[in-house]
Amino acid sequence: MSTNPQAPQAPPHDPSSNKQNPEKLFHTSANHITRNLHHRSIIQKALGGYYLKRDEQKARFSSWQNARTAAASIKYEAINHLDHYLVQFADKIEANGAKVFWASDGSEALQYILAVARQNNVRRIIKSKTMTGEEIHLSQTLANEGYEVVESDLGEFIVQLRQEPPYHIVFPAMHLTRGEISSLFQQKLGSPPSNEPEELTMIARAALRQKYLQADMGISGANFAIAETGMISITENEGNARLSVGLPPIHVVILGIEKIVPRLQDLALLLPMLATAGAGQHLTGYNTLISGPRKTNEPDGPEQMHVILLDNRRTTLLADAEQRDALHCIRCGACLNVCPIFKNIGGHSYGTTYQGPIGSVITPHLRDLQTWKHLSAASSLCGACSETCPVKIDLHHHLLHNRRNAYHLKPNPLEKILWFAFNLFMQSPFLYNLAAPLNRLFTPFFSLLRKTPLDPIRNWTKTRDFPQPPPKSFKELWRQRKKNPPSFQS
Amino acid sequence: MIPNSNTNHYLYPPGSREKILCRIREALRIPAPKRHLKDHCNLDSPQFKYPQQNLEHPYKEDSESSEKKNTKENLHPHLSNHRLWLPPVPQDTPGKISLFASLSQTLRTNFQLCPTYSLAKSKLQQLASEENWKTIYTHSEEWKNTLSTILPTTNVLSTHPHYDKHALATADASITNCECLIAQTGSVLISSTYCGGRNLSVLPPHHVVLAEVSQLVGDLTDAFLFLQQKYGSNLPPYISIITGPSRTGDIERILVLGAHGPKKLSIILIEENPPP
Amino acid sequence: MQISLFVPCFIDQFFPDAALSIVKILEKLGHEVHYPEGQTCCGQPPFNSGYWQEAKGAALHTIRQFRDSEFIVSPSGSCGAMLRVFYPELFAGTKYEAEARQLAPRVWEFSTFLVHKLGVTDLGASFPCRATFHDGCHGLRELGIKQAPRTLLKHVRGLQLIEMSEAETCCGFGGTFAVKFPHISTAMGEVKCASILETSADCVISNDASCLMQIQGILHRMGKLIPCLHIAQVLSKF
Ligand code: SF4
Repeated sequence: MSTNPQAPQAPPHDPSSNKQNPEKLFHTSANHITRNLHHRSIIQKALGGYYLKRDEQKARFSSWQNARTAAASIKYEAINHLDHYLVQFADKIEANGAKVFWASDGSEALQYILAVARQNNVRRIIKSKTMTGEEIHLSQTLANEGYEVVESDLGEFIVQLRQEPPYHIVFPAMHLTRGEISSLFQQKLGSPPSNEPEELTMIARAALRQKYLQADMGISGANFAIAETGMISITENEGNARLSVGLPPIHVVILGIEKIVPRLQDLALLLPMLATAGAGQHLTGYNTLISGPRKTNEPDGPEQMHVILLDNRRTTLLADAEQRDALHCIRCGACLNVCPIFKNIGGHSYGTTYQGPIGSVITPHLRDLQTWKHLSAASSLCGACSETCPVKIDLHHHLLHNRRNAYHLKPNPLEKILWFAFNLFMQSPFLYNLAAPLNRLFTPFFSLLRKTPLDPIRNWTKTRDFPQPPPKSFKELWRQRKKNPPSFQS
Repeated sequence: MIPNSNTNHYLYPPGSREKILCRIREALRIPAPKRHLKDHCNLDSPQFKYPQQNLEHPYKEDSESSEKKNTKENLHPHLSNHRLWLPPVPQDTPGKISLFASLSQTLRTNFQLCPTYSLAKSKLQQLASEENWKTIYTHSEEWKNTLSTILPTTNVLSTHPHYDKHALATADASITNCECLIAQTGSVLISSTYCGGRNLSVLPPHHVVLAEVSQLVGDLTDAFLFLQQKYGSNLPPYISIITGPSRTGDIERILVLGAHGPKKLSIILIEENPPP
Repeated sequence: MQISLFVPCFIDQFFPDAALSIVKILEKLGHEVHYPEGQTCCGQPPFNSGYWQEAKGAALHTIRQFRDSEFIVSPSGSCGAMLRVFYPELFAGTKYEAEARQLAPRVWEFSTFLVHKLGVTDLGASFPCRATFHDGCHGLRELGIKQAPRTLLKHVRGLQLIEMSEAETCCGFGGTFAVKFPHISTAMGEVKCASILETSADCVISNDASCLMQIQGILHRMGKLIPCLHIAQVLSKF
């Protein structure tokens, strides 16, 4: 396979630098990518194997459905007593020698990390995958300040070289073929071309080996924070997170406040579920629990550990009781994998840190409802996401709630009038009964307009045929039938 | 350690702990509906209902239970719940071993069941000669001495109490003990204090684990209980649950082993009790 | 027993055949079909577009139409879900909440009504063809309908049911979504049609007419004139 010229183009790296309206960008990008059959086939192929493995793993559970309810109960408990568990977590991990910093927003978190870096004369930073870091543009900010920042997760490493945001919260480079990655490596790392994923992986491995050993600071995210024991839990497959947090003398971990779970034992359920939903594994390669910097009875480990608890408008979402369960999310990415919208428009079209259904639900809260409401509108509400979510977030209903909230506060005048008229019309059987004859009357007229810009349902007919209205509506047929009932045969 | 008030404390911003907590408390004043317990509409089998009992966490109890005795019941009254839904695990040891073995195969872990210690020794010698081990690391002086006698041509070093990370990075393999093995997931659980630090099991290209059958537990629940019983509330600061060799699927979702961590994971499980 | 028929506006105007087939089937089974003639639309279009206020009038009108009905049967899982699942939410906290809640459990989707309420699986229909079945998302996920239509189709003489890959993936219709985001909707429909064509079936059956409109629209545009039928149309071939 060689590089395909029509490989999907990503928007520029830093979305905040982009002054264009996100809704317009979304439409342009989505329209562009949905027509890209190459993209469509890559994503379908990449996810085909996932579905098989996920179903296999789900089937091993005694009851996947009850496990979901139990997992959701754990997160419900945590989120609805967040103040209690956060304090418990922070106190415990501080007692173990870590320093906890509570950041209201991205800039507070960034300032703190920069302060740590300056204080300790940091030059080189190795980073393992963190979507929370992505959310506050951590890598770019540190790089702009002159630090060398290297992403260590293979997928993240690839998209970093391409100067792109991650395509998917779990599989950041799933939109690329080996050919594209090979030529990227050739260009940026000077490596020989290769057609083997294994060889390409080894090129990245070799490129990163020294970086772990040289780094002055390792930055990671966390998948869970355990209140009971004051631990963070990092889930990964590659071992890059373990190396990034185990070798450098400073470990900075950044996590959203919603990552809390009450007890260590909760992981006995959540870790297998995360692995199953996320990648169809029974457990992810490495699940690492860390409760502090190096202790005297340890041969190694960082001298400092900084834990950054990030709010960044999560409390806004928390305040919406109806959608509070969106904070239960364990970022497994399962809802993206099953979402037909995601599969067709691709991760970059969203223009957000979190793509897919969960991104469409939370971005309006984390950023701004009116600017990001189009994401909630761009859904057929099929519900595949809610069905698959391991913590039972009612995702597709929340899309509906976002639509309601957005238009309640700021209706689109034209639509408002349209629906107002619709409502009146539908309340009157008399008016409604006129629909069928009118329909018949206008159909020949509309057929003339087909394929012209005047066609009122052009958005439909451009790509699809519209059914011919039948000679009689059901209501008319029913009346007719009542007048002369059919003689019962047989 | 962390620079504190006597140095440049002022350089660190103060943080917003109280502000955030205040916002959280304000937000939580309205209770959230339990959407996850919502009755699922299922017209296809009207009798269908999620079992409602046992699903709520009995967290009503205080959080100070850790002060009480560390028995199974006292620690986690709700433990059995998770087990009801998770993949089943055989109760007996042979069943656990065979589950572990079959999962190892899917994970591409090199799993070796050795009835005796002497067989385990020869397995190690075989690995050493196959891969031509020059330098390997282990977690303690004691193991270092034993391994040196088993593998006379290999230079055996220990990460205890200190080691050079650059040297460890060039070692051919690491051999460690573990806290326990987990049958349900085919995993090895290691801790930094007991198993030679945070990097020993991830930096060298081949990680070899030696374990005894008594260390094989059923599931993660048992593994965490084991840790809590062994260490009480003073858990090791670094615990890693290792499931198979390092892997990635980041290129076209095709599985590749040895992304950044060990390319190979070998688990040698010894059935015999240790020699005195 | 007396069974009330709820025929969504959409089926009334474009697929009267599906509703008529249901009448035929229920009458054949010896039931009395009652069709409140004042019914219009369930209000789903404005509701799904986010204009909940504007959906309430039509919704209330529908609730009132069926006030005295014991069983309300709908040929569409989507509109059935609107009545059963979303009305209580739409009217939550208003004085109509009780009415909405009272209506909900009486609403049935056609195929589950036959199988689970009437206990009928074989209607004596015969329809020789190789067919594939598409699950309408609302029926599937809001109402949990999966097996009932398949059970019914299994008993149709001569009909060979071939499951398509990813039968549960959305066809991309989604109401106003289809015209607000025509490109995404069409792409989803194309993926769906590709899995339909893969089965080389000569007929597509679904329990939701709106999905059929989307699937048929795309198949026809592709030049594949495969008939798209509502399940009732197939079951009434006795
Ligand atoms: S919303 Fe659910 S499915 Fe989606 S990423 Fe979060 S936990 Fe996973």
